[in-house]
Amino acid sequence: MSAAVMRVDAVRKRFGGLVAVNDVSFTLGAGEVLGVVGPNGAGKSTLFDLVSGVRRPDAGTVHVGERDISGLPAHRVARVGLARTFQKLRPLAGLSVTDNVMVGAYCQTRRKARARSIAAECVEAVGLTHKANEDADRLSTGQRKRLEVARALATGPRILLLDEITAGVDPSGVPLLIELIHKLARMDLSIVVIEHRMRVILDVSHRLLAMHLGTVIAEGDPATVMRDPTVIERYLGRSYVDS
Amino acid sequence: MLYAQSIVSGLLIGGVYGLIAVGLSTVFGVMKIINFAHGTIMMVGMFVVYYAWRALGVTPYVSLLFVVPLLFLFGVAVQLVLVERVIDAPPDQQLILTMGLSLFLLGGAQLLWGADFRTVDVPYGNAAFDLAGVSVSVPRLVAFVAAGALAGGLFWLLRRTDLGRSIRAVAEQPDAAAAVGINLPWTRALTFGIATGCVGVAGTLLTPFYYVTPQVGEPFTLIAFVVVALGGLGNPAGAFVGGLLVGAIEGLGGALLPGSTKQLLIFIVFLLVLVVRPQGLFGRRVAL
Amino acid sequence: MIANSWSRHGPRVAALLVGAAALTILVTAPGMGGYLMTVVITAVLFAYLAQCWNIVGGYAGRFSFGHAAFFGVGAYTTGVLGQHGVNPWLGLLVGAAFAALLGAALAVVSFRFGVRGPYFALSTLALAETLRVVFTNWEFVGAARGVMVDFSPGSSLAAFQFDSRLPYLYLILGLAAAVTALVAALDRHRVGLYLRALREDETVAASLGVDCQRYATYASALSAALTAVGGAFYTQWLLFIEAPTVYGVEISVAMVIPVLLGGVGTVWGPLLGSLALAPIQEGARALFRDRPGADLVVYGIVIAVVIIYLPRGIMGLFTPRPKVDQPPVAPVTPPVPVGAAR
Repeated sequence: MSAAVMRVDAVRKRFGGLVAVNDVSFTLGAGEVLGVVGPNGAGKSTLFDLVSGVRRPDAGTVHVGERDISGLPAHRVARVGLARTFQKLRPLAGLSVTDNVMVGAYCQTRRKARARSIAAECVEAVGLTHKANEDADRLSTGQRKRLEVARALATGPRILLLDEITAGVDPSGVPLLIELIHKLARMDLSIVVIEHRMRVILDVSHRLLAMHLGTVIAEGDPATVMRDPTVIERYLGRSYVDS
Repeated sequence: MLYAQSIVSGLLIGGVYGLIAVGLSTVFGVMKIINFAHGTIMMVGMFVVYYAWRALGVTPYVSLLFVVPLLFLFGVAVQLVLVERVIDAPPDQQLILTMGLSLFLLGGAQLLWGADFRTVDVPYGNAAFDLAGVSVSVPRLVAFVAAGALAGGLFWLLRRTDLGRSIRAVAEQPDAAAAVGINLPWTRALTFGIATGCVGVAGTLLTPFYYVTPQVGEPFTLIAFVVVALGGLGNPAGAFVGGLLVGAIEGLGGALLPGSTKQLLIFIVFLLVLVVRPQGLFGRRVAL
Repeated sequence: MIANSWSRHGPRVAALLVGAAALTILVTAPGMGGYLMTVVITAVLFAYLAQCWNIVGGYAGRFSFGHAAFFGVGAYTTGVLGQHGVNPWLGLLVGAAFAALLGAALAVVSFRFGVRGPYFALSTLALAETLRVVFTNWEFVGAARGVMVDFSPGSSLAAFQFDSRLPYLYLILGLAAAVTALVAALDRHRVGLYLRALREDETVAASLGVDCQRYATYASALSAALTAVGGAFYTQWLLFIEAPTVYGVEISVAMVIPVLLGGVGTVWGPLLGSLALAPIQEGARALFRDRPGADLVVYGIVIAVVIIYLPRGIMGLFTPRPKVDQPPVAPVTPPVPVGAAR
């Protein structure tokens, strides 16, 4: 196995009586695309929150390379080279698309001209150049998803966490986003993808992690995980058909 | 004994604080709006009581008969004309709007009636009796009992009547409430009217033993914030208990601290509560 | 398109208007009568203060309703130190430092405990009110008597005292210009972008590498310090301060209204707002023959009109941005062959 760029060890998060993430461990290899599947409430987004520093894990560690980032605040995690998108769309309203992306770009440089050119590249990479000067809250859902990716990309990450970037997007817009994930994977990024659309996850992932009620119930290559009886029972039995 | 006296006086006025805060809390519970004009609206009611006494010789408690309907209608109008237009706006803007209303009423009162301190002189204004060595002011006791009774009546209305059920439905799930045929703007207007009606009662109860001036409302708004912050925004029962608590704290502050610094204790409690426990001492568990 | 040219030229038009007003004041100042001069100085002082408030209330999105706290700290530090023979310029600096500390503490505490939005507004109000009560009762700062500044006849820049009003006008014009230049620089700078980002969404800003607490604290401290400078100016100009005035809600309100009217979080909004507000206020005063309360009625009406009809202020007229409930439909893109890359 190639050297792991990220190692998550037994992270746990409890909300009152509910253990949202229960001793989840996984590694992410260099250039790998890891898919995370599971029904709503499986703890996928909370897992992203823990890894990206939005929430502090109650227990467990997250390493990026050799560096222990567990418990670091989100803005420091971003500067370690780990970026994320949000499932619930959060464009910085009142800021233009370029300004949104420049916020991230300042992770790589303090110079405005340089940040602007990084932002332009990232906006170009997600195909939003024609919208660069629009206010971010005037974009369509699919465009907002791509803005999320551009912003994350601008921080200059080695690791990218994509939280349901096709959710709520018109079916005609999905292929564009799949192509975008492939493009990101070719950019030497290691990617973790949360997805509900099976077509997307099977298309982009090298490996799958299936979660249920906060725990990992199966892990391995996509075909094997999809045939796993527990996974089928818990999840695929219902949603596979309609995706 | 000094402390007993301070606490009793504080508790009595605390009942009025409670009633004022119940209105503020109900409005917040239903509309998620902090009504900064709450105290200034009370001031308007107090001036009505004052002029009814001055010009017509109407004793304050009788004024309830017209002050309450007047302020109720005023509240309904404020909701329909002003607040309803910002019902979906960010909370900051809603707060600013009610601050604007407060400034308008304050300035208007100064223009119309001047900034002087006035008092309603009624024979029972200074009446008091002795209870185990503690002097109990009659108008304050009346205010306390009436405020408690009205707050109780309001809880009954919210819990047991169709109107109350509609109000609670709008507070919990506005969209669902609208879907089952509840008229949202109208329910919100009634809620606002009920709150201003309550504050009208509170103002009337105060006049026999309190001064009347355009500035009289602001401190009560601040105190009501403290009370509501203690009791939990959107939790009317907690607000009433919070009122008693703040009254007692203020009474103690008056005994312990010199001069006009008694308010200090209240602001400090307020800041502490906002910072440490913004959901209030009782949270929203026993909400509307 | 008209809309587009407005949005491009809007800030320039605003700058032009403000510049013309400033120039008019500069040129006509020597010939102004005493009353007019006082009105203009007051207006410019509050334009300056509005711009100070704009840094934290507009850019960082922390709606403070108690900036009188910082104004009062600046005014009192200068006044009280002055009574003990300290040069007012030094008093100004010390006051600004105190206010910066207070502003930073406010930012840190409110950040740490998640006090936001209306709760933040109310706690800043409580802070100012607390200081008002403390200073009204504190013997060392003159308690209810307030602070009187000794005036020695003769004008002296070093002593921050002038015989005529004119130097005060030039001074406050200079301050207003300086703080506007600062805000304009901030607006273009990385930190300005960071502030706007954290105003919109702290979680997103943090995930993009913005240390929200740090920059919110910088903004709060800077705004507080500059506000205190305004307070120091006030002390030296009026030579008398008392707690109910300098810590009063009226001061806090008067700092916020021009920004709301002109446009929150814009470079020119606070100045445009002040420019528009001053004649309205004077008109109201004349109409009501200087009876107290006219100001407040005007404020109330301005607030209602702005919040209901002009939520983005006068600057919003220059840069129309129609509110859309539904984002426009995504352009149809030709389907990309799925999985072609693997």
